[in-house]
Amino acid sequence: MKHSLISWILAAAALCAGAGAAAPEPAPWDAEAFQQYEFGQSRAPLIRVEDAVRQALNQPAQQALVEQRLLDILQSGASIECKRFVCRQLLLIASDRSVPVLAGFLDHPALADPARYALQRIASPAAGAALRQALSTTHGHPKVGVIYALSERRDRQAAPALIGCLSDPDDAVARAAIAALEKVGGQNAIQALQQAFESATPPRRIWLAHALIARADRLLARGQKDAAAQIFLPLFNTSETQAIRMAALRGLVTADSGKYFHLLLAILSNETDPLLAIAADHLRHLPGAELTQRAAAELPRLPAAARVRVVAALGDRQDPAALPAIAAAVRSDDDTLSVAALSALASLGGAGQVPLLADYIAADHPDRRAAAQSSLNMLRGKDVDGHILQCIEQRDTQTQNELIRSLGARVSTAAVPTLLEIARRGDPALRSNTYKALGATAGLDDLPALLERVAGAQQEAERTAAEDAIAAACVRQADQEKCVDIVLQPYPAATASVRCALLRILGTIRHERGLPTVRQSLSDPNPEIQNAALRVLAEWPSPTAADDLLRCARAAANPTQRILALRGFIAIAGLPGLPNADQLALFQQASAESQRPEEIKLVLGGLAAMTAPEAFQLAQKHLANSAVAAEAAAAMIKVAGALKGRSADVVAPGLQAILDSSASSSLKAEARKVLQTLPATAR
Amino acid sequence: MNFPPHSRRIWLKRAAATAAGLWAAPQWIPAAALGAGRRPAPSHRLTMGMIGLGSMGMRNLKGFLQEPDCQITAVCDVDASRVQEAVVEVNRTYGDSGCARYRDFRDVIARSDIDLLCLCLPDHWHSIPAILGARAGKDIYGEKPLALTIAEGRAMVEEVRRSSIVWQTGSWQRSTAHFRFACELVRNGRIGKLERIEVGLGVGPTIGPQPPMPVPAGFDYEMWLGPAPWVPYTQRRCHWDFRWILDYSGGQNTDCGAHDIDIAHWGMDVEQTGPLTVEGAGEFPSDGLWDAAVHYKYECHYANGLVLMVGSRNHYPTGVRFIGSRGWVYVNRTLVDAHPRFLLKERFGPDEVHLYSSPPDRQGHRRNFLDCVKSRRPPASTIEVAHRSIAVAHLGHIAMKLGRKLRWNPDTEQLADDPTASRMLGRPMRAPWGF
Repeated sequence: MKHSLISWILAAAALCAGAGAAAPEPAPWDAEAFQQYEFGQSRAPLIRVEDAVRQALNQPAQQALVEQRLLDILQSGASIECKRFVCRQLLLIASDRSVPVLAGFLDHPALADPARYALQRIASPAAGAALRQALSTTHGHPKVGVIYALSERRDRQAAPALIGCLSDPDDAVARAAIAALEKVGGQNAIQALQQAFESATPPRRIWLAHALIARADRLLARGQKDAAAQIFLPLFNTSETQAIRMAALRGLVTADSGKYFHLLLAILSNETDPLLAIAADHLRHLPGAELTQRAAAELPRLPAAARVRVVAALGDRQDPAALPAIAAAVRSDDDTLSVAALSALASLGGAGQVPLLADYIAADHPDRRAAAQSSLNMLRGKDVDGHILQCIEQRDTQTQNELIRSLGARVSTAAVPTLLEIARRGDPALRSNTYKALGATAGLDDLPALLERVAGAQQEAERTAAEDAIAAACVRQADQEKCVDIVLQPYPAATASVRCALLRILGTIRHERGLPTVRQSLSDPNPEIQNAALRVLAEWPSPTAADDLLRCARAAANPTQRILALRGFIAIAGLPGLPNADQLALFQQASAESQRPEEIKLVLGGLAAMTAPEAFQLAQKHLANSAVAAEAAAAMIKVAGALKGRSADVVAPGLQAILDSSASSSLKAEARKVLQTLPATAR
Repeated sequence: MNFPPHSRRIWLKRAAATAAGLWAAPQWIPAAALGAGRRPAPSHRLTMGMIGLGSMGMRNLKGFLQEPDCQITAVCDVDASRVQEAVVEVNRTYGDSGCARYRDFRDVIARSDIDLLCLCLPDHWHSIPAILGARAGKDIYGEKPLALTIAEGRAMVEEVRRSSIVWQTGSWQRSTAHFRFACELVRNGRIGKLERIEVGLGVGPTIGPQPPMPVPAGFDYEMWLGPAPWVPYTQRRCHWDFRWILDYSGGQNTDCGAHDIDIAHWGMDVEQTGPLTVEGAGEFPSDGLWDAAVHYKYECHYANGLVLMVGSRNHYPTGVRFIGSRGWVYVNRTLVDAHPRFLLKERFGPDEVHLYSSPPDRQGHRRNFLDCVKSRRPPASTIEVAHRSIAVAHLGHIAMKLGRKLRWNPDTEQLADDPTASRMLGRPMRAPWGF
């Protein structure tokens, strides 16, 4: 190894002297281990070389030193694995200096590919010349590789030789040459491909067709539309595969949608044409108002299958010029066509189409009805909501309901006054949808009016609907404090049933500002209010309610309330994000208060999610209780697993206790599994 | 919307039969299909060839088997045991023995009676079957990440566009309601002006040196390597573990990045473009068979001023966090969270941004593909969008590997003034593979 390093330093010094510049010394590497590398050994020597290459990047002198060293190795007796790796490093840094060495390996049985990888990345003419030269000296796979390399380099000078390869008896060589000629381009290359296509038989004919399509596509991208169309058209007319017709059709209509519209029309007019769906899809994407008009005009004359697709495409074009044709299709007796047209209105229509959609939103036919509702919900434009509101007054109850539902789906804030007015009328047939729509649309300013509906409701169903609307509206508001303030305004003067409703709303908002009122209501003399407050508190999402719940769990007169409060307290103990110590203290209290197996199991479920030896110990206290022993053991095992070997002195005896006492073989197996992960000294 | 029968294969058959004065019977009539409940008649089913039968391949196979209008008629893998497992699954489900088995994907693509391909191959095998499949006019469901390199991805995009086929990338998070909702919150300005996006991905695994081994019976290792450099066989190179080796994939950076960078781009509204600069650092294994980045972090700047940070989960929590001037939205596979919290109840009006909506979750993503094959509309995860997403991860990898800032032109997809990094945008293929 020492000898190799000395040689390397001497070589580096000589190269620097030759270059007349002082290059920093590249990172050293273990040349001996590197050159003897075989797969399966440590890659550390390779990684050091890789590091040296990376460090040399962008430092020409150092890069030259590293490159030369790699070339020396490539020509040495190093292992093939090492040389493969060297070629891959040269891929990044090889320069003209590497060309003759790499070219020498292009027909090597083991190194032809890696050498070519590096050679094809060298941008200089010398690399191109070496690859062109190799075309006449390589055969089989190496030759195919060389052709793809020239292809990637877009080496137009290689075109004559590549044209010669088109008739190579080796299919792989011919196929690579076809792909390469398309990429290198040039008049001669394209003419050669076209001539070869005329006389070729499959599969070469198909490869040639794809190459010509790719070439024409490049012409299209450069704006040479006529030249592209000249290539596409014969392929469309003569090709025997639908895939090539598909590609050629796309090229033609992209080149000139007006000129080749007749091709689309011919396909759409023939319901057995395999390209029918493709032709309709082109109508979706191609630009131009004239195309919309021509397609819309042809619509009535097309076969049914094509009409449905063209209507969908016209909808996606979003060109209002198609609206008359689409409106006519909506009224068609053909359900499929009508549904397609109703769906198309979602993206194409505006306020003017509201009455048409309103005609169908309560239709008997389920698909028409669903399409109309969906489109009305998504209809864009300034006056759409206004038109829907106008329609409400003129329609039957069923349609009114659907229009109201749509206003909610559209989150139409402009509709709130009308919706409130409908709510005030108290029409039971419209009540449910009206309040749901208000829940989706009402803002802070609308809450007092909705609260009036809670207070003024004649029936419980209406009160519940208004209450749900307020709750839904409140949770959407940015200012939750303000919501609480508004909801609490009528509270002091409210009846018991209204107070209960307001408490439930506070329970939905769940903002701390509402908590004092809820807390105060726990001691309300009215048991209904007490009960409502406790139910709200039992689902409170923060520990601030814990003390109140614990007090109720201990002192409430009613056993149901005690259970409710205790369960709420346990739920708070299990809230995510609490510090371990706080959580543990809450569970300890909950454990002490829990008498029934149902609540103890809830405690154990919460403990199981913790990662603390104290949780393990707390769960273990219930191991002797036969009613919850299985849950206690499961919790202990879960906590022990989460501790990952920590607190083994606490965990091991507990797990052993499970092994000694549990009747469950699966729990024992789990306990044993965790126990085995603990240090032997603890077991 | 229901579209009339659409299959090119069906129409071809009918056209041919009509020309001959006959109405041809389908090529195959599985016993279970005759008069079977709600399944469409065989001639109205889309026929599918499954290529690649590893974990994702089998998951997709089982998913497509559930779709009544899809008939898997061929399965293909270089591992005979996997082919056998798949054939048993397909034939058991259909109650017949009609599923053909293949080792070479080209034989599946050559079948004119197959409409669709499902490609679930290692990344180094993504581009060639996709390009050949598109040229054969097959509609394709292709697994993510889209391609092994940016150059291969662009070639795939061009071929799919030229061929007018439907392509769905397996980035199924786009078909998940809460990912869509998170992006809609961002796109509709609910968190104010979007400023920064953090994407957290997995930490890459490591393994020691692995000995060369004899190739197992029934496994065509030469075909498995395909266009990748030749190396001796060892077990932990192939199948699931290929993703940790840079010759075949890009590690967690591309495996998870294909999903979460995609979601980031969706929310950022940069799906059709890419960053201008990419810079970062990664920790690569110091030894062993697997060589993809373990810990990593890179920063991408976009023309619209947005900054996308991508890192392994020691840098950012797994998922995507959009940070705006008035709040944030965080989304991963299990939850969406936001500040302020009321944003989670937001709804969007018709004049706001509504992102592409497809049936939910993994199965819905597959369903969306079949629906789009029928309607010819673009599916949830188009190939251009998938290419743009994974290009970010590829650029991140190049920047980390070379240890320098890259200047990227997303229009030309070229790197400025960096010939060395430019050499890494594509990878030469082992002969005779190429396109």
